[in-house]
Amino acid sequence: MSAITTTAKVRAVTGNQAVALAMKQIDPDVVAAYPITPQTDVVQTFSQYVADGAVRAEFVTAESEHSAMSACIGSAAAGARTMTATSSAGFALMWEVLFVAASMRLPLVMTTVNRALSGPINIHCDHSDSMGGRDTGWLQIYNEDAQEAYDATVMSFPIAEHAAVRLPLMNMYDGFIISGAIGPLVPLSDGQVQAFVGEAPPYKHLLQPNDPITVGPFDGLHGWYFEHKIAQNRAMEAALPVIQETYDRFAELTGRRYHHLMTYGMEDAEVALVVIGSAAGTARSVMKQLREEGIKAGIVKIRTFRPFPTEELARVLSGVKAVGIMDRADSYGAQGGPLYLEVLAALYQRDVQAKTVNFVYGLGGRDLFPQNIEDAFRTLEAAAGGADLPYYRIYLNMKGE
Amino acid sequence: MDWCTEGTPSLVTAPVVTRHPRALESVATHYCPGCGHGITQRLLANALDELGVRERTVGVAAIGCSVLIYNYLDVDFQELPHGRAPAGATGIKRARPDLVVFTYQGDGDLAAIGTAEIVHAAARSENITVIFVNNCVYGMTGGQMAPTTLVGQRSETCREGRDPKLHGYPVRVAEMLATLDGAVYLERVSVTHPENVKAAYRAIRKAFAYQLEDRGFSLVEVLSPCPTNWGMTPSEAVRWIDEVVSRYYPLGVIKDCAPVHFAHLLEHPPAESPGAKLHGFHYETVAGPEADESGRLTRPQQPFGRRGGRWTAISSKDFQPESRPESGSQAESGGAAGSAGDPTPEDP
Repeated sequence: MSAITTTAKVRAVTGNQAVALAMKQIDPDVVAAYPITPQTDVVQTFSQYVADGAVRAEFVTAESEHSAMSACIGSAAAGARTMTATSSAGFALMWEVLFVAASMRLPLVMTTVNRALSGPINIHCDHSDSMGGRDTGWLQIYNEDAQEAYDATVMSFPIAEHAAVRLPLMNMYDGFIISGAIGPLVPLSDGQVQAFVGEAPPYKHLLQPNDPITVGPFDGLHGWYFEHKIAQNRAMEAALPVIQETYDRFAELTGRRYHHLMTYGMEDAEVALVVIGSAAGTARSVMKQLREEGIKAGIVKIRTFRPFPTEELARVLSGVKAVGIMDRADSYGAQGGPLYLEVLAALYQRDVQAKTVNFVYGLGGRDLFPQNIEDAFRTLEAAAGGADLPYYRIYLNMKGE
Repeated sequence: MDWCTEGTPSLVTAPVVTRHPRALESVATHYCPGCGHGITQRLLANALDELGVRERTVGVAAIGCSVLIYNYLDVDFQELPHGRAPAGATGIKRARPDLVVFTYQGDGDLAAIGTAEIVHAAARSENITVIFVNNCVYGMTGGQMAPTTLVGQRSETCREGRDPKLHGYPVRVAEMLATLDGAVYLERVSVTHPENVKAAYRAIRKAFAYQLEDRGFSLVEVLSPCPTNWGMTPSEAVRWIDEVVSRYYPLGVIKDCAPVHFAHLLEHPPAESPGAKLHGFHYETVAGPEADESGRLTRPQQPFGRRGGRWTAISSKDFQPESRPESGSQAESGGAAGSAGDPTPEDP
């Protein structure tokens, strides 16, 4: 992350506290949620703000995530700024209604604290929840640390509510690794957040008694369902520049500059790792050590995953000899994890010639050690020198054979 | 292994007061001091031992603190997502009716995210046993307000206490299920004092005995202390159950009867059926013979404790040591159904 220029006091907070603070400063109209580890204390901390009278938000303790998201859809369709948070199985239980939120073009904002899906039950981090939801029609932003998660939350409504976008947005960060670990946060003032978020632009398709409409009715064989879906994709395309504009506007305020892709050492990189989430920090520190050895290593951290920044990624990776794509989720029976498939398609389509391999790591919270990253870079270095790369995934830090 | 006698020669001549249940694993517990799960699981193990069904019992574990029962009971377990245990148990029981199938669920599971599953398992009168551990709070996630949290009770997401204007009212699961014809046996117990623990054991054993008799859906609601999330000492938590919680959730048999199937009702109109009286879509069993002419068993039913009444907030000011839950609920119900309060177990 670039240098922090603001003089605000640095606070030591968990990722969840950081996001709860951002929610408080945004002060949405409605928050409806259900507890699930490791998300729980985002909403629990927010409920403290409610109890303290620090926010005006209507706070609904739903009986399940399915109901929580349905309540959010209702309130957003009525024109209220609405937020929620979830993880893992809660995310999966929301599945049905996630599609509804996106197709109704409701600018909800959800924090997804990444956690493995059952079974066996596992409460620790991997990306199988939100990666599984990559085709729900939601905008997806992945964050590396508490500061990024906070900033992304502040930037969410201006993106989601933009007239050209009108799509729900989810912010991800890694369960426990970021959600529960204490890290530095430079918060904005309440006034700065309120000014940055601003008022929602007017939108006519809301539930209003004087202008009656029905949202999401039956639209079958002879209707416009197909075109409706195309419109959703157009909104996704439109979101890409809107997200960058919002990142830029945020940089003017804070000096913290974000891009769809954050690159480190990519100016002259011969081998590169594409990562997402908290693993970027470990990867970066290993990359720096390897560069001291003379290995031209680089890191591409993907922040904006939906819409996928294809053009930008192809540009960044052109000229790289070997690319390792790091997936914290797997796609069973597919040629690789979700990020791998996405990157591979982008490279092929833009005719970028680079050797590629898929590293799958960290499922169910399995540690990713610097040594694992180093092994990955050594594999890429050998490939850059002419060695073959396996077509199948390479699992990092796997027990046994 | 008999822990009371083996390896302790000096105690060989002493009378055996208790034995470690075969169905209970000999491992250390992870539950917090003062938690009711340990007692409840021990009672469950005792019941499986006494009925001799351990080798053919399958448990279905839920999500929450209750989930770790699979570390403590020596029976096969299926783990399912939050709230889905009754549906999973349905599948197991339908595929293998010879197995004894139970679910072990907390209130954050059964009374919240799993409301649909429990209602419909009861409505279908699935021949399963449900142990419902109610501690009025989401335990494992750290003490958030649950649907069962009492009015006025503080939790992490209602710091000033549950306010009906904001959060509505607690759900009385056993009473709610009692309106379903498919629910055969519903009893609420607590694991606070020895006499309550004994009653809890009789109820749990009976719920399994009914399954062995193929009677249909049974549920035992166990009021269980959670000192950690209630912010109390274990003894305060026990007192709070006795003096406050069991006033809102009265102890005792909520419903105890054999299901009367619709086809049976057609063949035997209510007037002719000595055990059942039809009221609209519902029926109520009334005091009558143990079995009707078709051999179906009908049992006296205890009417609900506070039916139709508007609940008023209970706070710590309402601590009334003399108020015993069972007597309170019976007094209000007008003493109908003769032997209704009798918790005597049905031995198979």
